[in-house]
Order: sequence, then structure tokens, then C-alpha cells
Amino acid sequence: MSTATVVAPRSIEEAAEAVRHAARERAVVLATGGNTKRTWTKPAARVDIELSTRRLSGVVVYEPGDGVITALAGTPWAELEALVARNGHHLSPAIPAPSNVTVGGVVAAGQSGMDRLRFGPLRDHVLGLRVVMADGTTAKTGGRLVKNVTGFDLQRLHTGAHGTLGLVAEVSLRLHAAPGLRAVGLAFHPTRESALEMARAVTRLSRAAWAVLVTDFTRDSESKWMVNALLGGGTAVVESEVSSLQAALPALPWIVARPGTRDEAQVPLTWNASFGNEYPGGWRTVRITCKPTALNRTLFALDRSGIETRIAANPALGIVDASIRPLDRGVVERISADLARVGARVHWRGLEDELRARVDLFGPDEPAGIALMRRIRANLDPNGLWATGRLAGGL
Amino acid sequence: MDARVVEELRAILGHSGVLAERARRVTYESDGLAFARHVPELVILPRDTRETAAAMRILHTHGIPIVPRGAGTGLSGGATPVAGGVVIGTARMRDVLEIDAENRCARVQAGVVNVDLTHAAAEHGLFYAPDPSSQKACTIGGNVGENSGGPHCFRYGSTTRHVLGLVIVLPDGEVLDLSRPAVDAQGYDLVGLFVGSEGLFGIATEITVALLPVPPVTVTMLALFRDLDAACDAVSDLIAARLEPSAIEILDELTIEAVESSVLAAGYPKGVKAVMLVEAEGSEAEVAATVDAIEPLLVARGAFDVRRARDEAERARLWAGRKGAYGAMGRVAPDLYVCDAVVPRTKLRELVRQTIAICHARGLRIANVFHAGDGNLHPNIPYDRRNAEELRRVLEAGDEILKACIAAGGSLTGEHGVGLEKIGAMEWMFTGPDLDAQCRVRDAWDPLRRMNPGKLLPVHACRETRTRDPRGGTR
Amino acid sequence: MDPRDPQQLVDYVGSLDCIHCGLCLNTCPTYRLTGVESSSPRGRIHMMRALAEGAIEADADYADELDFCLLCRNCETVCPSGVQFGHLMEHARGALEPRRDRTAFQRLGRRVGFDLLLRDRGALRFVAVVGRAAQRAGLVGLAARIAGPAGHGLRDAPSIPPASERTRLPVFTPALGARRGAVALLEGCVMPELLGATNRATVRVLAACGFDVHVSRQHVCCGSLHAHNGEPAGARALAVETIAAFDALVDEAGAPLPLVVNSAGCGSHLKELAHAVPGEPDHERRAQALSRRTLDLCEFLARGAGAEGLAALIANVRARDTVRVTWDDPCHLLHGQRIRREPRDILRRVPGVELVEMEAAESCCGSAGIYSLLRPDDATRILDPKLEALRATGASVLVTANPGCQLQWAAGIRRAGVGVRVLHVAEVIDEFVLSAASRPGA
Repeated sequence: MSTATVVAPRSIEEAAEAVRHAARERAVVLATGGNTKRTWTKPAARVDIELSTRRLSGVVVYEPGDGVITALAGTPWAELEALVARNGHHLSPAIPAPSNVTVGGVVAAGQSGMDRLRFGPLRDHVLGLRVVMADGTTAKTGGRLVKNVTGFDLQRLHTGAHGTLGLVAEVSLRLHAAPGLRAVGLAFHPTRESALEMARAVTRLSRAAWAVLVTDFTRDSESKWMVNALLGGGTAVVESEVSSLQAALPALPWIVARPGTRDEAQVPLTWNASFGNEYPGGWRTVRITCKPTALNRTLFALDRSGIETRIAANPALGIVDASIRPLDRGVVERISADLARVGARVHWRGLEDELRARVDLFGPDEPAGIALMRRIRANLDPNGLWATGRLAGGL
Repeated sequence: MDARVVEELRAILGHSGVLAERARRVTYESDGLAFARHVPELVILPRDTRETAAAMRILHTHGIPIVPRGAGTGLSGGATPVAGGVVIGTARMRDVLEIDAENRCARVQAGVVNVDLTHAAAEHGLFYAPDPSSQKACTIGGNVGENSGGPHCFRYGSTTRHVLGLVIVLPDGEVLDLSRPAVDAQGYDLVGLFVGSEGLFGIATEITVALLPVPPVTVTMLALFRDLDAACDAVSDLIAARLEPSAIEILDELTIEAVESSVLAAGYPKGVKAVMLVEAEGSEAEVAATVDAIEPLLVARGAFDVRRARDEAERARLWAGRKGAYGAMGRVAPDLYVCDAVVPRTKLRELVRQTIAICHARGLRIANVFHAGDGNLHPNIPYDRRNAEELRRVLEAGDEILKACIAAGGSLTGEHGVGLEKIGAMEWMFTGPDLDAQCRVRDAWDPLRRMNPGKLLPVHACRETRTRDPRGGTR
Repeated sequence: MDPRDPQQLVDYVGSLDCIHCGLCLNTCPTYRLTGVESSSPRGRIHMMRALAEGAIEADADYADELDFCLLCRNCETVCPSGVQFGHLMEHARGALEPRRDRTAFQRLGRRVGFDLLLRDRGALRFVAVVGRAAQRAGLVGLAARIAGPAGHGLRDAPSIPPASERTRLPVFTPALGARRGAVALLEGCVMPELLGATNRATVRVLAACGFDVHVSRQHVCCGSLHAHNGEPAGARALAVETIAAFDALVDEAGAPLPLVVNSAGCGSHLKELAHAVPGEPDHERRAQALSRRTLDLCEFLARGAGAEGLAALIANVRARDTVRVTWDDPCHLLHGQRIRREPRDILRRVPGVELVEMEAAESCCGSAGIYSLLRPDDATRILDPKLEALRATGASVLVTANPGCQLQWAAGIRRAGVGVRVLHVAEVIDEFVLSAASRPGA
């Protein structure tokens, strides 16, 4: 990796030219954004050129009345978020976005956000892409329209493909209405079971919930398990939901984040505390996914491994982000196998390079349809231009 | 068709599962795009995945092209048979296999009728969101093939957002089981890629879909306008104000007349130039807030009467009128050309005007009934198929409308698909490399290009692609 | 009409009203059963068009799909284009009949049935006498076994009641109590032989509601079975007889009496009688006039003077206990005449009746005129899911308003061993209101 040449084109045409050049040289290319999700995939077997989008930046079209934004891949996520917020729009996924998180990287990694309960996964917001293909041509898929079925949904294919099928160069995203009011509910429980039960009750009763999480980041045993719920929506909607939730679940107090107050400023802080990807201090994260009703079984399997964990569980969606230490290859493989046995899937995120190269980040099983995925990859990249061996099944 | 093929197929599917008689086959010669017709060589009606796979293996051996078909309600000729080909219909795969209320999903056979799924889910307080106007007839499998929409997709999104898993029979008869629900796809999102592939990748036989809780309160509003432009502007205003009702529909004067003279008469007042249906769903507070915000915007744009459906029966009637509008046009003329195009929502008025001008310039009538909130236009042009010259003008107008929409940053189709109808227009919207990428992906699924050939992808746009094994060596 | 011209074989212009939208598919019993497009309304219309355009022949497969149709007309209720499917089908069957490849035995059967029996009260009565004797002697079961699969219709044929049940209605029955008016009642062709009890209950109810009831002595059959089954000539002749018979029944002022019908199939046909006399302006005019004054019993008792009469009757009755009943819409009442609310309103008003809705009540029971005799296996397959729905209601009485449906249900219930009685709506009123009112202490 260290020997790779970094190329940072300033336009899609320059990017295409760089790819054509690499193709002529038979070089292997790794498409990168801000490199913040580098550890989500295995290290590539060989990389000659790192094709970076960091200078491929800027908004292409933003017509607020259409509710769609189109930007070049290297545009910082935070910049887009701030821009659309000025027009009353919310950009989903809501993710912790330091300045080096790029829109292309979010799409290529298929990163969904903490607002997934309300707005769905990232793939639902990607309306269109412009992709630099392995032959140096540029292919468009989808468009800047909220509804469109012209041609195959190749944007679905590239979303989450980590650039193994092409360089995501331009992205069109659907925007949502920014919430007029937000409210945060926080409650502490001595047991995981009671916390999960409360979290499920909130999801069942609420229509405005953006997220309902259960975490064990605090150490005090009496209040180890925290339920953290976020509501968002129109002012009247949030107010009425808070009052009905208060009546139904008196043990869950709410902070209504009125605009311009200190409470409002506190909301993002509360959220980052419980939803960073990595728990600070050398902990490594694994994302575990399962059927919502299989969550308890999944957590028990994790308990049985006897490893110290910190978890952030999203019971309504069947997602658990578990932070784990200490880690070695044996631990990773044992946890992966235990979870596979109860039907859960793993995706290790944040392992060190050396360990990452030696373990399977996506669990012991090959994904269903791997033969077809390989054919797709072979057809779109017949000469093996894009760096390979990074995804499940060695894609 | 070779009698041996029929025999082989009947050995698996039984006599009634293979229709070989011409009188029966002829009824499969077209889908909703009635002017495109071809009598299939055979019609095959499997009852499950196993039978579908067995039939497709036989067809693979004999190199016979396959056209998949749900209920034949598609409007782009996606199910029009092809020369030398057979039709595989899903009409005998009609079981709701499982409703998992706790995980809010259902597993169904491909031939389950859209509305039957919603009825089955209703017992659990759930519903299936995509609601094409043909939902009383169209199948979930057909919806997956076309990535179908419907009025409520404004809020809930098209079919693709609601499909969690699939069992697919590939062109050579191999069964690809992608039914294990995944929060995120492992590897590539094959399920998302398959939805909307218009039968070019294989046949989905079982589908796992997400179900949503039935909203506690639903309010349907009817707004009357003296001017179609004003109604379009009102929609653009609603979008710009970021209001989130669940559906925004517009019907124009000719459509209203047709609906009101049919069994589906909804009580839309005749003589107004445009009717807008707006629906808000959610908690009481949510609906009240949405409705209170919408009403003044409509009035400001000239709505002279805004009313709310008083009860469930009136609500059902208002929607029955909207959803039967296409059928009701049968009262205006024997045939109807239903266009489907999308435009940016800031340009609704301009493009609706252009569609009218394009039709009038060719001496044609036009009935606009459309999913305004999504910018999804449906200019409907009545005609009589016995008048070939009129049909020519109709098709010409359809082309002009599409070109105008593309020029405005729009798209060829929002929910009906490309099919046979718009295959020529694909090159107005996509470049050679755009289409090449699509062809390469198709060839990964169906290297022999035997599935629904001549649909969606213009044949000459597909260069010879060579499949190369990632480990090297060309196959 | 030149039978060699395919254009003449179907109502081509009428078939063009269909724009292939498919909204009819899911309501069609034969499509739901098979999933085959040509067994759906859209498919059948498509075949008719294809025939007219020369794309197919009027072969055995075409004929089979026409015969498979129940003519329940459920498709018309949901058709946004207003396609008159019933009319298209009657036309297609009629035009096809002379070209059909029927055996001499089949032809004889049709001539006996359509030209002899349904035209002659004496012949009908004779068959009833012979038929009852044969059923009692067990000969029918034997004949059915000999005939093999084709004999199912015989085996499942309704049992013919004893002679005491098969009496004709009186020509005149005076109103009881306060007289509200006078009506004519269609006695029907097979009704007196198979369901005389229903007819007599109808007369009692009408009289008790305050109406003189007139019955035509010479009228036999309205011709609806002929029209449905490809016998336009017979349908035309019977339409002319029907018009004459009921034009002759007049009130004191000489105006023709309203015609009350307790058979939905006949009522539906009478309301479209002009179709049976095409190209005869005088008959068409008189047919239309008769159609306008034809009322189903449910309609009659739910509106105007009929409703007042029924209300007055009910006012005197208090129920002793409650019986759960369910209603099954006869196709030719719901889809043919668009009458949905009236029978339900009536049943809800009857003291002691708890009305529960049955799943798919609007869907055909498989009787469909003489369909259950011609295609008994298909008729059974159509009824089976409805028997399940009936069980699910927990009702002990199933109410309908058409003789064919009554017989089909009774046969199905017998076969399935469900303990449910089948009653005509007139019989419900007769039993729960009239009998209750005459009970001591009521």
C-alpha cells in the first residue's frame, strides 16, 4: 500500500483520463475518498495507484424546490449537510462527519446513519450516480429525480461496492424536511432486558422516532444500560408525541430541544457520545445485524464469548455495534463463528491493518449469489483494474 | 413449438400448466400496451419455484427465449411475447407464504395480487405501501420486475424500498436464494439490482417485502381548481415548503369527465379544470399539522374549494376514481396511450403545458392524470386502433413529450418501465458508455440474452462483452 | 347474419370498450380458480376480438372458454370502462351455437330443455313427476353411475319435492290488513316444481305487507336461461310472450302492475329484456317499459310502499331469541342489478336476526343458471372456498334470493355436512316475522 502513487484529479474528465492511463499501464487502482472507512474492507492484495477524490469537490446542482442535491464525490459530507440545512433540508444518513468524510465515500461504503429508523438506509436516498468505469468511460445511472425507473438500478449496485465496480464520481441524493423540533429521551436501567423493553416500547408507540438506542457505555452498575431516543419532526408533532410517550412510559424523561436554547446545542453531543463508530481507547468495533426478533439471541451469543464489550443496540432494526477489546485473530474468529451460528451477520470495522489482512471481516460464510457477483465484477472490470480482494467473497 | 418440448414441460407442470392451444395463447399476445402484439409459442404457468426452475432448465437446453408475465397490466410492453419465445406466467403462484408481524415483513409467491397482500397484512395492523393504480390486479412479482410506483410512493418510495429478499430463478434454471433478510447486503446488493430489471435477469418466484403499520389517522383532501397551471404551481409550492403528505395527485378535466361517467364516479365535480387529491397520514397531531399547512397554500394558488373526505367510504370512493381513471378512459375512446415521464418538481407547470400543446398540435385529445408530488406525469392520449394514421400521430406525440421531459432534466419513465415501448428512447437519455455498463450487468445474469430479449436495452447498444474470470482466462 | 363471417360471431364493436386494464381479473371466479388468462373476462373479450380479426378460429378451445364462464357478471361491477360483458358473452354464445360440434344426443337434450320444457308448463310438471319417481326409486344414482363423469350433474341435481309442494300459485291473492296496492309476481318456470315453498312464502309476505298479488296463468318462462346459453331465438320468443303476459296484468285504472320478481336471474334478464328483441322497435319499447316496472323482491320491500308495509309488519313482532344469519349476494342481483344494500337492510330489520357478513359474499356460488348441471365439477370447485367462508361466519342460516343459488348451496351444504339452512329472503320474513306474529303471545 505504501508504495502506491496517489492521483487526485480535479474533474470527472481528469479522473477518467487517470483511469485510462492506469489501464494502459495495467496498473491496479484503489478509489479512495477521505479514507475514514478504510478499515471497513480488507486491505487490497495489490494497489499501484490510489485514485483520490479529495480534489473532486463541489456542488453540481442544488435546486431547493426539487428536494435533490447533486455533488462531486469528494465534497465533504459536513459541507453538504450545512448547505442544505440553510434551506430547511435534512441530509440522510445522519452520521458523525468530521471534515474528511466525503459524499462519495459514504455512498461507496454504503454507510447508513443513526436516522435510519425514520428515513431508511442510505441506498434509498441515492437517486443517481456518475461512475468512472474500468475502461475510462463515464457511465451515468439514475438521475436527479425522486422517482425514476429508466434502466437498471445500477446505483444500487455501486452503493456499498467500495469502488470495486467503478469510481463513484458524482452523487445525487434525495433530501428530506429538516425537523422543526427535536427531543431526546434518556433513561437508565440496571439490566439490558428492561432497557431493551423500553426501547421497543418507544419504537412501537412513536411515529416520529429517528432513532432508539440501548447502550452500556456508562460504568455504574445501577445505571449501566441507557435508553437513548431521538424524536424529530414538526413542532406540534414532536410536542404531542413527547406528551403521549411521557404518559405511556413515565420512566423515560424527555428533553425538548427548543430552537435557540442550550438544550438544542446539547442534542448532537448526546448523540455523538452514544454513536461514534469506535468507542474510545483502543476498542474495535464489529457491526452485527440480525432479525429484530433475534436480537436477544444475538446478544446472548455475544455474552457467551466471555469477551468484554460495549454495545450500542438498535432493537427496532436489528443492528448492534459492539466495541470489543482485547482483540486477536482467535477472538475475532470465535465471535464471528458464534454469531453465525445464531443467524447473525458480522462486519468488523476498525481492525488494525495487520489483523485485517488475516481475518475474514464478513464472517465465515460466503454471501449468497457470490458467483453472480463475481460475474458482474468480471464483466464490469474485465482486466482487473480496480483493487480486489476487499469485500465478502474476495470481491 | 416442438412437440417434444411441450411434452417435457407437461411432464413437470401437468397439462393445465402448459397452454399450447392457439385460442388460449392468443390472450397472452399483449399486456396493457395493447398495440404491441405477438402470440407466444407457449404459455407456461408454474405453481412454485421448483416448477419454474425445472421449466427454465428445459427452455435453457432448447435455447428458447422467455418472457415473464405477472397479471399483464404493465403499460410498456414488458410482457409482450417475442418471436419464437414462450411466456412464463406467475398467475398460479398466489400464496401468501408467511406474515411475520413482529419483524414487519411478509414472504409471498410472485403471483400474489398486490391488494391481496395488503388485505392479508391488515389483520396484523400492517399494510404493503406501493399501490399502483392497477393494485387490484397486478402482482407483487410484476411490481418487482417494474419497480412499480403508485400514488403513495410520494411518501413511501417505489417498490425497491420495500423489497427485502428474493428467490430468483436464473435463465439457466439455477435457483438463487436471496431470501434471507439482510439489514445491509453482503457483497453487492443483488436484490436492489434485480428490482426493476424488467424480466431481463431471471424470474423472481418468492419475494420478501417490508410491511408498515397502518397509520392511525388518514385524511384525504380534495382541492378544486379552475386552472390546471394553478394546480401544478400549488404542488411545486408544497414540495418547496417541504411538506410531507403521503400522496399528491392531479386529475384534469377530461379525466374527471371519464371517471364521473363510470361505475367509479367519485363525486369529483364536473366542469372544474383540475382536481387535486392530497392525503396526509400519521398521528392525529401529524395529520392536523400537515393539513393545516397545506390548505392555505392551495387556497393561495387559487383552489376555490378544499374539502376533506368525511368518512372511510368517501375516501375509498375518491381513490377508486383516481385508480380507475385509466380504465374509465375506455369511455372516451376504444384505446388509450398512457405516457409516463418524470420531470423535476419545480417544472411541473411548464411541462404539463408542453404536453398539452404537443397533443393539440397533432389534433389529439389529452387527459392528464398524474402523481404530481413525484413529478411523475401521465399524459393519456385517447385513440382508436382502427385508425392507423391516428396511432402514428399518437406515437409521435408520445415521443415529443418524452423529449421535452428529458430536455427539462426529466426521465423516460417513473413507474411503467422502458419495456418495448421506450427502447428507442433509451438513447435520448443515455450515452453509449451508460448503456454499455447496463449491458455488461445484464450479461452477467443472462449471458445468452434469452430473458425478455428486445426489451429495455437497445440491441445495437450492447457491444459484444467478454466475460473474464477474475482469476484470469477468458470464458 | 352470415355465420361464416367471423365479425358476426361476436359483438366486435362492444368488445372494443375493453382497454385491457385487468381490473376484472381478480374478481373472476374462473380466473381465480385457474390463473389462465383466457378464463378471465379480459381474456375472453380478447378471444372474441381475435376471432373477429381472424387471428383464431371458433374452435373447441374457444367454445370451452365461453362455456367455462359463469356469466356472474362480477367483472361488470368493477369495470371502469363500462364493458357490458354479460351482453358480449350472451351474443358470442348465441352466434356460436349453430356452429358447435354437438352430438345428436346433446342437440336433442338442448331442444327438449330449451324448446319443450321451458316453453310448456305441462311438460315441466310431467318431468317433475317422472323425476321425483326416478329419484325415489334410486334410478337417478344408477343413471349417473352409468353416465360416468358426465353424470355428476344428474347426481347433484336437486331433489324434487313431493306433489303437495308443487302446487301452482293462486292467480289472485288479496292484501291482508290495510291495502297499499297491487303487484304482479313472476311465478317462474322451474320455481313451482322445485321451490314452491319459496314462491308461497313470497306471496304471503307481499299480501301481509298490504299488496294484492296477481300471477299470470299462461306465463311460463322469461327466457333468461335461453339468453345465457346461446339460444337467442328461444329468448326472443319468450320475451314476446312475457311482455304480453305482464302487459295484461293491470290495475283498476288499466295501468300495468309493477312486476315483483323473487329470482335474481330472471329479474336481471327482465331489466334488460330489450336485448332479447333486437331490431323490433315495438317490442323493444314494450320490453323497456316492462324493465322499468320490474323490481326484485328485495328492492320492493326496501323502498316506498313495500318498505312501509314491511315496517308495519315488523313493528308488531318481538324476537324470542337471536339467530345468526349471513347473506350471499346472488350475482344477478348484485352484479346484474347492482342491488347490494337492500337485502342487508331488510335482514338487519328482521327481529331475531343477527346479520354477519360472509367473506367473498359478492363472488359467485357456482350455480349460474344451469351451469351447475352442465359443468358440475367446475361448479363444485367454485363453491368450495365459499363453503369455508360460510363455516367461518358461524351462521346457522344462509340467505339468498335466487333459486339456482338456493339449490347450489343446499347441495354443497349437504355434501360438506355443514349444519346450515338455506332460505330465500322471503322465507326469512315469512318465518321470523309472519310466523312469529301469529304465535300466541307475540
